[in-house]
Amino acid sequence: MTDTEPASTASQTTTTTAGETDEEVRAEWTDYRFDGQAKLSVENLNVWYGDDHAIKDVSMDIPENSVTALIGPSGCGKSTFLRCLNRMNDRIKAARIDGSVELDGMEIYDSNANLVELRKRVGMVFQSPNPFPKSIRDNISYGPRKHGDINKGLLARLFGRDDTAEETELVERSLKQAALWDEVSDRLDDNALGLSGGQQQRLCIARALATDPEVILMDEPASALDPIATSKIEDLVTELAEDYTVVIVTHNMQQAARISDQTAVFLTGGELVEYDDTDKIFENPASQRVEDYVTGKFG
Amino acid sequence: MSDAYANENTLVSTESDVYDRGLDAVISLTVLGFALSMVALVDVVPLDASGSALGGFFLALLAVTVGGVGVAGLASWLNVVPVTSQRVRGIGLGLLVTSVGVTVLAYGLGVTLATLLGLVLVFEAAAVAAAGVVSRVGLVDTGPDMSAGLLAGGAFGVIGLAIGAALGGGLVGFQSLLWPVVSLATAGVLAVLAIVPREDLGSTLPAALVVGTLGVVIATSVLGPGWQWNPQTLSGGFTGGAVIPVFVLFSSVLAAWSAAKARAGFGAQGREYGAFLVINLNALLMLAVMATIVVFVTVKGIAYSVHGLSIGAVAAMVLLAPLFVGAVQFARSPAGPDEWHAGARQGLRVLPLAVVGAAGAFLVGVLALGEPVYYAFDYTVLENRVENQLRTAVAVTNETTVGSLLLVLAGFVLFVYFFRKYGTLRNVGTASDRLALVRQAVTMAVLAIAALTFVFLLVGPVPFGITPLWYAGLAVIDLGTVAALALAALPALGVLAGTREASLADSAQDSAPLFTLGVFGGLGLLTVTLFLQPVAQVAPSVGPVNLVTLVAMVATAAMLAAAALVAVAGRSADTRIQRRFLAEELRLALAGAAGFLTLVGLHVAVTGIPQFLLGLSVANAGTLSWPMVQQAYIPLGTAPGGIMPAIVGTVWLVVGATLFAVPLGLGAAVFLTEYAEQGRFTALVEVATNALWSTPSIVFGLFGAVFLIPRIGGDESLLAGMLVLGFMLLPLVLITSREAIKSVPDEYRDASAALGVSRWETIRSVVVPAAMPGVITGVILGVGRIAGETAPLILVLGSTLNATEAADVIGGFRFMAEPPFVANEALLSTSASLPTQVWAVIAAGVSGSPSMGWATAFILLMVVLTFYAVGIVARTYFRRKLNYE
Amino acid sequence: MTYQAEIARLLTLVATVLTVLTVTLITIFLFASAYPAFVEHGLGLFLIPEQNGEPRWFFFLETVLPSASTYWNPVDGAYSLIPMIWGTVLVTVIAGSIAGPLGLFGALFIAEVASDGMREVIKPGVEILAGIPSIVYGFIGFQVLNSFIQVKFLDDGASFLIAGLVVGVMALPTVVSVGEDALSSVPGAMSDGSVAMGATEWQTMKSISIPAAFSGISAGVILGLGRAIGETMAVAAIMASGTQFADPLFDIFDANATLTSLIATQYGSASASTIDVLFVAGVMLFVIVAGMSIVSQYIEQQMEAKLKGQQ
Repeated sequence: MTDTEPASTASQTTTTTAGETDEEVRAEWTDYRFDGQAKLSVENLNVWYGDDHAIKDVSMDIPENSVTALIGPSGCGKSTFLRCLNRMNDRIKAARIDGSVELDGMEIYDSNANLVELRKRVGMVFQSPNPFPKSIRDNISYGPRKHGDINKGLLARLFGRDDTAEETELVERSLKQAALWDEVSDRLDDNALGLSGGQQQRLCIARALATDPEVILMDEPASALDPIATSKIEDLVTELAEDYTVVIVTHNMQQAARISDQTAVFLTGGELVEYDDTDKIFENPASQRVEDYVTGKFG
Repeated sequence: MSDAYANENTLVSTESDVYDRGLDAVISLTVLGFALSMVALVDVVPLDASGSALGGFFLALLAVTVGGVGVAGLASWLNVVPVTSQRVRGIGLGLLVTSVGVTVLAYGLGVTLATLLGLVLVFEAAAVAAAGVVSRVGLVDTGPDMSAGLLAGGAFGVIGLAIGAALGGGLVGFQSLLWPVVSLATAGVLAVLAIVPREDLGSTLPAALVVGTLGVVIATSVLGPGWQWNPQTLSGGFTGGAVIPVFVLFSSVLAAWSAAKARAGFGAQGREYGAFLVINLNALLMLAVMATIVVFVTVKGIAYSVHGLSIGAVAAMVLLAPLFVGAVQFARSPAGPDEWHAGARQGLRVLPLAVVGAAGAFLVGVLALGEPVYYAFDYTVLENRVENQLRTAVAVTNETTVGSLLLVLAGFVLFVYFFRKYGTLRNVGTASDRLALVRQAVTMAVLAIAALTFVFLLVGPVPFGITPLWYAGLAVIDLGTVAALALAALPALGVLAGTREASLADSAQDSAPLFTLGVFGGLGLLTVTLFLQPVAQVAPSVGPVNLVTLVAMVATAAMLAAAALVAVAGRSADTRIQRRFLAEELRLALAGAAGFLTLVGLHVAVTGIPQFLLGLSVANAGTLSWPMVQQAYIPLGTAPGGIMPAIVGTVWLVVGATLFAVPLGLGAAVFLTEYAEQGRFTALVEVATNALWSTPSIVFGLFGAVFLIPRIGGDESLLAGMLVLGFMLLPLVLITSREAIKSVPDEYRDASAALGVSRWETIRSVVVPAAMPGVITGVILGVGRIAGETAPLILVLGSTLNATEAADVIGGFRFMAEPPFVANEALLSTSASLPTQVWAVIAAGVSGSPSMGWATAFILLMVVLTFYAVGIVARTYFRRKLNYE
Repeated sequence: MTYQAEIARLLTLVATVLTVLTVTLITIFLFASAYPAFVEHGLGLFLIPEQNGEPRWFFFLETVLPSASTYWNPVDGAYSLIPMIWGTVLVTVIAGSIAGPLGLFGALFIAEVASDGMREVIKPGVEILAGIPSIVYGFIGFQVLNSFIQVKFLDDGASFLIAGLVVGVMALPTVVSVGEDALSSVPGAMSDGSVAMGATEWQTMKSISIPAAFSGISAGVILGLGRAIGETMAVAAIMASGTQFADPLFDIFDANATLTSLIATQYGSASASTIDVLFVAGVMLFVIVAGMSIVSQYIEQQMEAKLKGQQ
């Protein structure tokens, strides 16, 4: 066994196109703010997994009703960062999180924060499709039923609060939003595991939409899919951005360029190197390292 | 969507208030009640205790609570283990408040423990009901569902059935047909109360009703400690002493569930908190039961089993050495981020080191003091129904003798440890041609001496009556030892000599070839000369000390000196690579020192002649005296005898079973996984072995007794025991080996096959090594299981109480001219073993010695748990290694 | 080199053949040894005891099985295993009602509730406890619990209750380990998906983890029950040997031998024909427990296949 060395910190002195250091570049874009209130506001976020410092002092604002892409090489911490935005990292018991994330000005890392409410408002779609081993209908209504928004079953009938009609309506609406209705409308009671990969992933998106979230986090939602399914998901994301705030992690730079309004670049070691309008990141980045990355010289 | 009960929760709820703090206190109270009921059930404090006896107990409890909560709070405040959860903080605070409360009540009211527990239940019921009502009226912000649900309703229905039955039985008697009616009515009321109202009332009121009723019944002594119900039809009955704790236990869980739901504001989160609290309480119960078993056996057995235990200080130091190295290793593991928080954890890491250091210093102190240190104590032994007070002591003496076996053991462990840590020093430093020549010469010499030993072994020490040959042996030994000494001294001298031209670090790096030559050459030469000595019957000595021993001791010192030099050099090394080389040299030198030390012990063990040097001595009769383990039963003796025959018997049983099962199981696993076609046959074998593994052990015993014993001959025999245990171990070895071999990724096999390596070569050099950790772990765990197996052994081995002689298996071998050529009396006769000895104590009934039984059970438990602990640690270690590499 | 490979192949083949032979031999020998007693006694092995001239309690069996006033008396050649079967049933039921629920909660605790540090301590702890030899449990029961029950339950010592409790505690680690394995093998992505939708951890356990792991958990319970049925020493140590019936049938304060402890305690003084009957008991144990093992293996395989299909 050899002792593990701490991650190299040599990157601090890298020079950039303008001859500035990373520190100066960061100072420039940290001031990058939007008109109006940010939907999600992250301040000095740090994450440790055991002794591993996975996210280093990240601050960024995410505007409402837009698509924000997080790109970077594998292991750079972009998925970890995403999971911080709805506190999914709380489930990893070795993780320690320090810093502040505000949703509409409310601190989500407050000790009195209501996790159920948070995750209702901030939905999530995972890398590989993970439908529950239930019917398509039950997959969609899972969230609302758990929140007590839809009541079904013997007890609900006894109390006269059976919401089967509402459920049907919700299932149809969500599936239509996720562009899946036409494909599955005739087999809503079939097991969701019988769908194809792309359909499963759109089902997961529909499932997330059913709880009526404000923000949707997507962790490389198309990485396990074929090109046709991928383009369907991409179209869907662009559409969703009209009503929702979408934060999407991707390692596919073309995808980020196609669908996002803002792009944040994470490089190795959990540092946010640059965050700006997507056009600027891909055409005229401030940092040399980001330029190398987006042009494929480094990755 | 129905909006009526859709929760309009805010993302961040308001700070906790009276409602939350109060419910935290109630939850703490239920936890306290839960613990108290367990304590009362086992009569740690009797239910009818009152006044100062009860108050004293509660003061002790208060001290424990203050200590526990205080330390946890301190750790949180110091940021070692930050506690941020409001609920955990609330419960901690609540525990303090409620323990002060019950202590005051115990003193103030002067009631019995039973009454007090009843009052606690009544209070909990009132608090829970109040919480429900407060929530229903809307005084606090909660998010209840429309109903507590059918599950809760059903559960309360069942509880109602039981309580109603008891109530009905008590009111109208079981003869009357009315009691089922009462029972059903109670069940109905509780179920309706749970289902119909909104969740906040539905999950508090029925709980309060149940808890409150039980509380009132207990508090008013309707059901007091002296209560009895002894139905004629049953051979047993119920007493307050059993029923009250069970009721309190149950009520506490119910009240905890209800209070936790209320605390989290009902709804989904309330149900979660309630369920988790119950799950946690259940885990607490399980842990308590299991810890009690181990602690209980230890407490009962330890006094007897350490009777007269004593050890010399130097021997203790030798034992301590591996622990010291382990502690250093523990302290060296990477220390985490550079923070205050990490500082605290570093402190934790050096703790074992400090403990071992303190123990070492204590031993030095004993030596310096020149007097043994005793811990004397009395204990009572029950033998033949007579209580017998025994006085004994555990001692660390100032004797300076080390047992040779102990030395070999500790030295060998250290040697293996350092040698495993050591990687390679090939191509490091400057190697001259002369050095290469020396290396070749040493190799030749080692081989030659080994050959000479073999010759002497064949023809005797004075071959053909020619004495000069004996002198040749003497000369070889003299030369060999002196050469070994020279080699061992090489590293240290080389490093020192080099410092004239270069820095210490550079010189140390340059001398790397000297290290490998010194350690391997020196150890090799000395080992072969050591074995030549007894064979050639030569024992040259310098003064009173044997030459080989002297050289080994000096060489140990030389190696330690070299290690010290390298360690000092390492501090001034400037490049990382150099630091690494020096670390390798350090490990090698330490391995050498441990190796030479082992040789000292080995020499004494082989020749049997004690060796003295500088006031220290090494002898076959060491200073570790542990009568329980080292002696057999002494009939009519004053001191209690030991159980050595049983330990020896268990060791042989385990060895025999392992020898039988491991080769067969491993071979079959390799064949079934690598050669056989995966299909019906392998699946059938797998199902059959799994079934055999779970077959009751007594069935194996039956088979052994009726099938094996008549065929082996004789009566109950050790060999039959070995075979039966082997049959039991076989399926496990097969299962775990198959799993381990299967878990070797197919990529390995493909990669190896793609390189053109044959199938057998692949199995031998890729599959089996990769699967080995899993196999070893499985075998260790299986051996742990069969070591404690009793049932089959009673049938094939009988049960011997107070055996006075250990089975001498090694000395029992006799060779014969006609088949079967080998006979072994010891294998064919019965033997004691640890588990059957415990059974013998039980079977002897009142005439047996329970104290002996407890001590045997304790040692058996330690043996088995050690196997398990080693197996589990090995598995964790190998798993981590697999995952990280 | 090929020579060596051939030898290795041969050796492993021999090991396999020997292993299979051993397994077959044990099985066949058991059945063969039990056969004479079957032939000789037939249904007499299942005599129902009579009381006041009336067969007791097992009214549902009365039409099938014979009844007699002497049902275990080696001198008369009367051997009924019914009392021991009933003893086994009682002990197993008590043990199961302890180990089942507690084991499920324990498995949930380790798999879902406990923090990482806690799990690293408790999981090996539970495994180590599975290793406590049964004779140690038996000794505790014999020395301590039997007097405990005299005080607390007005009993005269040995009882089904204590034996069942102890066996339940012994079977607990098995249930916990297997159940925990089943819960842990439910893909994390599934429960992640549920939690990310705002379901609480408890809702996730109830709606996702437990249904998905249900078959694995039941396999654990079956295995645990199998261990309880096959447990010998703890039962033998706690309940002195006896061939009497519990009276009344559900009297858990009574004591009697179970199938396993019957073998352990009767073997020493058994005549040849008694040994044959003991073999019948052995075969029954073998068949029941092996059957349970096969059922639980089948269930686990089904579960594995189901979860694999989902990925």
